[in-house]
Amino acid sequence: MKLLRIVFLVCLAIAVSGCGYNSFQRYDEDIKGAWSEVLNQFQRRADLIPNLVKTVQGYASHEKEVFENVTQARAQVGSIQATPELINNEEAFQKFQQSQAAMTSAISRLLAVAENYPQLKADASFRDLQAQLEGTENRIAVARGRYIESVKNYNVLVRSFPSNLTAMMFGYSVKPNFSVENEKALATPPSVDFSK
Amino acid sequence: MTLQRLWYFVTFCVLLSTAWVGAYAEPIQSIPKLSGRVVDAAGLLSTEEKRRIEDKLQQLETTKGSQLAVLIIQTTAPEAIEQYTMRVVEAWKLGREKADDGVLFAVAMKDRAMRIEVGHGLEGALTDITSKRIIEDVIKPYFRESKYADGIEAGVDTMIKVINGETLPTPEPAFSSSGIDGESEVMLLAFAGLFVSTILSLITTRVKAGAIASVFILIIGFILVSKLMACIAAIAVFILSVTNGSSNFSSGRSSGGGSSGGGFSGGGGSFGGGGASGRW
Repeated sequence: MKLLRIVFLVCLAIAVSGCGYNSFQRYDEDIKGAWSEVLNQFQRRADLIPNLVKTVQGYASHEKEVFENVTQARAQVGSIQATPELINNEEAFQKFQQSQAAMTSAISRLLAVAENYPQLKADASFRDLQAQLEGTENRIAVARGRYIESVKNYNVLVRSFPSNLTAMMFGYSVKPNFSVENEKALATPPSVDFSK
Repeated sequence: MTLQRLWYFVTFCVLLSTAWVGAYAEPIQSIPKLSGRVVDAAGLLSTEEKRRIEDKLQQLETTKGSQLAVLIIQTTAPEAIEQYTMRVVEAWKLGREKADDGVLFAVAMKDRAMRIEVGHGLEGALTDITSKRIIEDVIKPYFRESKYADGIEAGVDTMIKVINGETLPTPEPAFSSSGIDGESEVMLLAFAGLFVSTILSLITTRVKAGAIASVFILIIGFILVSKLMACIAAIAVFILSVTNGSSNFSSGRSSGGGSSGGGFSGGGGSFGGGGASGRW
């Protein structure tokens, strides 16, 4: 009788983890969708850079260092193959994160320099670019937040019992996530306060 | 200790521990209920001003389908206004599901911050640049002079103008505008069906009469109203005609026509973080 009970419980466990398989599929797709959105928004930001550089250069052409910085950061971001596969490789993911963080700080420095040029600040196209930049940074934050959420759901499933058995069976492993310290730094968009 | 006592004790401990954990959570602002198109949790607007703006917003939804809402609160701290409005629109789900044409205009009085949160579908019209310009050039001048109601109304007018210029899917013609709502339609169909089956039952058996009448109602319902209502009416007709026949006619419980009008709820639209913020 005891053996029967054990057999029953084992079958139950397998049945439950069988259900876990479908959840994996669902969460995996959620992650893919969320990740493409993140890449989309980062790309959108990268596309704004040339225009930004050109506009600022029109007023502050001798500030060569910041321009080089930004252009270099953009080149580095561009050099990393931003594909959906990135999330399956922890190391590549970290590299990607770092390059985007470098881009953020380069943009911040450029905008900080722009502060010293009142004519630039008053320029209509500069203000438009700023609006676009702020908008994009917000979209990045939202997309990243949603990605983090979807990875969290997935990772919890991978690590919990009994779905971790299913995970082992089919080779699902924990997916990389944006690190918290980067999160805080990236969460504050490069902004300039004109109200002063 | 008895088993039951032990169980109570364990439950108590668990509850206590969750309360403990809860106490450490950083308190964020709660999201107000979507009580109407203008939610004024800061008591900024007068009844007249609020009604005027709400009428404009309702007009927009009727003609264009897009849902624009205004939220006025004291503060969004400890969150930034962007984080707060994102939570609000995810809860309220402004805009139609497929069109994602919702917009939230939020003002935090104590923070002196405002934000226009734009849904996916309207990002082409209310671009980040356009939203920023509305905030800076239209609304801010009023706010700087503490003319808040005027500023909000001017901002809403401009946003409506921009949205009107955009191609969106045509809004569903509200059945309620003809004075009949969904419930009444089902009952109308049911009565018609009962009438038919009563007549038919003179010729044939009640069951057959009921069956023919309900099929008849099903077809008519499919053509005139929604499939769901047709099915409901058809089933009702069959059951009623088989059980009771004509004596059901005299139930005077019609809810009549007229739309309820007051309820406003989000249409399931989604947001991606587009729009613009500003401070004054």
